Amino acid sequence: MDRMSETVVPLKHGEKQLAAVIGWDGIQVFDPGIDIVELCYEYALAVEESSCGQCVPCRTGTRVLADIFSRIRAGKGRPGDMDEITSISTAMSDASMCEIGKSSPRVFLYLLERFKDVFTAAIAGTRKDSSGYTYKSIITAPCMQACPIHLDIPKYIEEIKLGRFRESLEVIRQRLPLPGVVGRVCVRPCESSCRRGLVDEPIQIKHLKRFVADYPGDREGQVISRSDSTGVLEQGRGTVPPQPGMCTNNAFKETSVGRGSGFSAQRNNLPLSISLRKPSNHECQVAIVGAGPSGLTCAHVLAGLGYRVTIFEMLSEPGGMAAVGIPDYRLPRSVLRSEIKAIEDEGVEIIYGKALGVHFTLDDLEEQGYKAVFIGMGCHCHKKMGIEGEDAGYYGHVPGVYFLRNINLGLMDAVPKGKKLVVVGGGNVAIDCARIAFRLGFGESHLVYRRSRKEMSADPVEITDAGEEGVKFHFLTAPKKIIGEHGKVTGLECFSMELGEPDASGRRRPVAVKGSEFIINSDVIVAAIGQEGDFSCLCNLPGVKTSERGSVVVDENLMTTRKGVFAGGDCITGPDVLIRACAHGRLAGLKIDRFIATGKIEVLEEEMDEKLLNSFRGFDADEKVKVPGGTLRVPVSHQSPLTRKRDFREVDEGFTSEEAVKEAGRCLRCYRVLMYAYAGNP
Amino acid sequence: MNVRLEIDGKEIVAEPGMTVLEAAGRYGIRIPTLCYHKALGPYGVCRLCIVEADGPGLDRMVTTSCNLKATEGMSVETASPRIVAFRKTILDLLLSATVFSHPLNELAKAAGIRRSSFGTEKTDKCILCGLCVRVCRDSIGADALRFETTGENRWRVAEKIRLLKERCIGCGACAAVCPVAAIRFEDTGPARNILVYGDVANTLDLVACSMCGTPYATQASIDSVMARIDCELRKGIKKLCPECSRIIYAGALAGGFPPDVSGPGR
Repeated sequence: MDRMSETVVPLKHGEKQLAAVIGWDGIQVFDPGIDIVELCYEYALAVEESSCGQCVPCRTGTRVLADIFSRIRAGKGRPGDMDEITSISTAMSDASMCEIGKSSPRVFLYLLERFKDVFTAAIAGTRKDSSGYTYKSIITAPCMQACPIHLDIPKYIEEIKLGRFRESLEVIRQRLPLPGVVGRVCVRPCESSCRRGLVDEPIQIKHLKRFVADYPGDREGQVISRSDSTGVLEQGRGTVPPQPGMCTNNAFKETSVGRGSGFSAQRNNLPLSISLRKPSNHECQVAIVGAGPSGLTCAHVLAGLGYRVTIFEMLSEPGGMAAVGIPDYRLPRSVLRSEIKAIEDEGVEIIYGKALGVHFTLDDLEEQGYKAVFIGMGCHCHKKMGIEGEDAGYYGHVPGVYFLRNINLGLMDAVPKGKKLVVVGGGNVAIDCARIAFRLGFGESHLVYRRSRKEMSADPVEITDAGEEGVKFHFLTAPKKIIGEHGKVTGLECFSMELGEPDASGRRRPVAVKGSEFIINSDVIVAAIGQEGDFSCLCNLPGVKTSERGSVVVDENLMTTRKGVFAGGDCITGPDVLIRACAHGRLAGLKIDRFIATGKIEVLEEEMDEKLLNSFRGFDADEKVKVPGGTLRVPVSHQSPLTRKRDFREVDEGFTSEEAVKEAGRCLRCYRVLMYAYAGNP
Repeated sequence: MNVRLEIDGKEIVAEPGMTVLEAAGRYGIRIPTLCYHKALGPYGVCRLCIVEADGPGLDRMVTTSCNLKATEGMSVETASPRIVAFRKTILDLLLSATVFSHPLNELAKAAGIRRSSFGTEKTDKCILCGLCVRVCRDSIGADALRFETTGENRWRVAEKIRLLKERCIGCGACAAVCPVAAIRFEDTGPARNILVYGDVANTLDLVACSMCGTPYATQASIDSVMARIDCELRKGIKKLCPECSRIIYAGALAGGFPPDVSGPGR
């Protein structure tokens, strides 16, 4: 937050005009009527409330500060109070362990200086009337703010640090029913907003999430080493929680024996007990179209709220794109299935082989008594490359999404065979297609991308992995023509490109170099340059509007133009990341609950919080974080490229418990408290 | 490769991987700490071992020395005016917000605090350094002590210590590491009481010494020790109270080794 500035436009929380906002680095006062002493007192209470209680300066300091502000507010201030606040705040902000203790006192120091006379007067017994305002606090962290579903990341990492893996998983499951899936395939917006990255390297949040998801629930507190596939366990030890900024010397007594290859993660089959759950007091039915990440999350939320949920899935397999768009070596099907099983165990029914618009319509659902519908049908159609030969119907030319889907569904007859495969595209689907080629028996796999490696939208880790496995990259190369003979693909004619001016996306636009055409011989050409939705089913449905760029139109409450029909995930955004689809599903679930209960759609409190938080800078890439660096991330072991590339075994092996605790110990726990005040009652 | 650094103006050679706290200790520079124990490694919560560290990437940073790795060219001040002031404030806070205990009072006195400056109503029952929790879990392997919260505050991780009776083996390691005597044990005849915050949290039977018959240790703690001893060695071990084993080993020094533990030694 910027330092005090009274000239700025007053902020709002939902419809409420705010009187003041006080945060980790400053204050903004919009209503001169507000009393600074009262504001400080309320903020001190909120900060005390959010202290974890582990380190002394924060645990005791926040408590004493709240006491001092309390007596000043009550007109019982003492002459030395301002000095006490100063000495405690200074010591706290430099000596506390995590950001709650470091960032919050800074604002007191600033206010004490800025409003010295207000405090002096208050200690002397004169204060202005401060009644009639309501104060509310929000706890956030840069990683939480960056996460589309706003998982409480510092909290679940703290639980890992303390060796409480089950509690950690519970924290994740409160919002996300697919921790094992997201812990494997997430694109990690949180990690790019990790302040530890400004010190040395970001925390590997994704792998920590996967670790707790995989951790067998009945073995709490015990260390499983990777070589231990027989189930004989070592006693839990060596789990001293390392602290922010700490070095890696003796904090860990390594108890694990060498890495064997026999480790197989056992799934944590705990029943889902989320805090949302309440007894089913309404027998209301909700229909969900599509058993993908957004639909499943929506179902989980609604089931937790006591609704009867039915999911209609077009395919024979649940999981949507997570099942048919992601290869098994990245996301084993068993992981996905067991998490979906847990959702079914909550009472969610999944009906397979039923497609909207083919087997049933929205009107049918309404007639059958469904009170609301959530459409999470994804984005399964491919985009065309727009090049010559594309419509010739050559054997061997296949769009990326279909290629992956057929492999994932085991429809191997529909998968073209050959020795050499060329993929066109630079996203995650393209990388998946290129890597899966080896696993299908192709000898060579090439990837053609019209920009350079830097501009590829695929996960950099995946690009490196693909390179290690032997995928040959042709950067600054664009397809010109698919060459075929006797109805079969024989090669791809390409241009060389050079980078010109930046385009709308900020990436430099590639321009073809004249006369640079060349041919890459190949048996199979996979086009993976993007997807769009298949809304032929919606075309004739009254009420649900779709946009020209092929997505379902929704309002800010995720409701389509038809009342009671909501939508989320790729079908409203175009191809996007999995975690965002889950976030849509969760939000839609909560909205559907409000819609059914009150007949109205309303903006949720947490959405207003989020909007307010977004007015401040959550993550500052230029910040100088005062923590000693040099504690690098714990490497995640994976299968060697040569052994893994020929089958579908999972590439990443995940953390052992001691690795996870050690990695969690690197977290700086950047929680911050933001408080807002408004005139009026709660 | 050893690393050279400077602590309080003193040239110091530290072994690779050593922390500043350890390196300083080797050269007789004492940095106060409550939550650090050699056998358990750093936890970093008491914050008394703060130092000012300068060097590449450090920029005169205030940080805890128990988990700060000693690096080449680092320059550390353990008692700069800033550090002394912070440390005093932290001890003062600790004293103000914790139930009275003699050890804590003595510590504060040593830091020049006569009485706490900040009165507060809510007091913690101990300093929550976590040594007992860690020694029980990491060294003893019993995992009988846990941090507990009242649940009033969803962000709180630690508020007090709780002893899980069924896991406790009565070894007394927790009492041995507690810096403020919040956990103690009392042997009353054939039983041992473990006291947490002055209340009896567990009572265990004591096993009698095979020589003098005095009850001296719990069966579970003897078993735990035995389990860590090599099979062959285990055979020759007798259940002896500390006093009897002192007498026997003293006798053995006079009469040769190994000691004869088959008959009375006096």
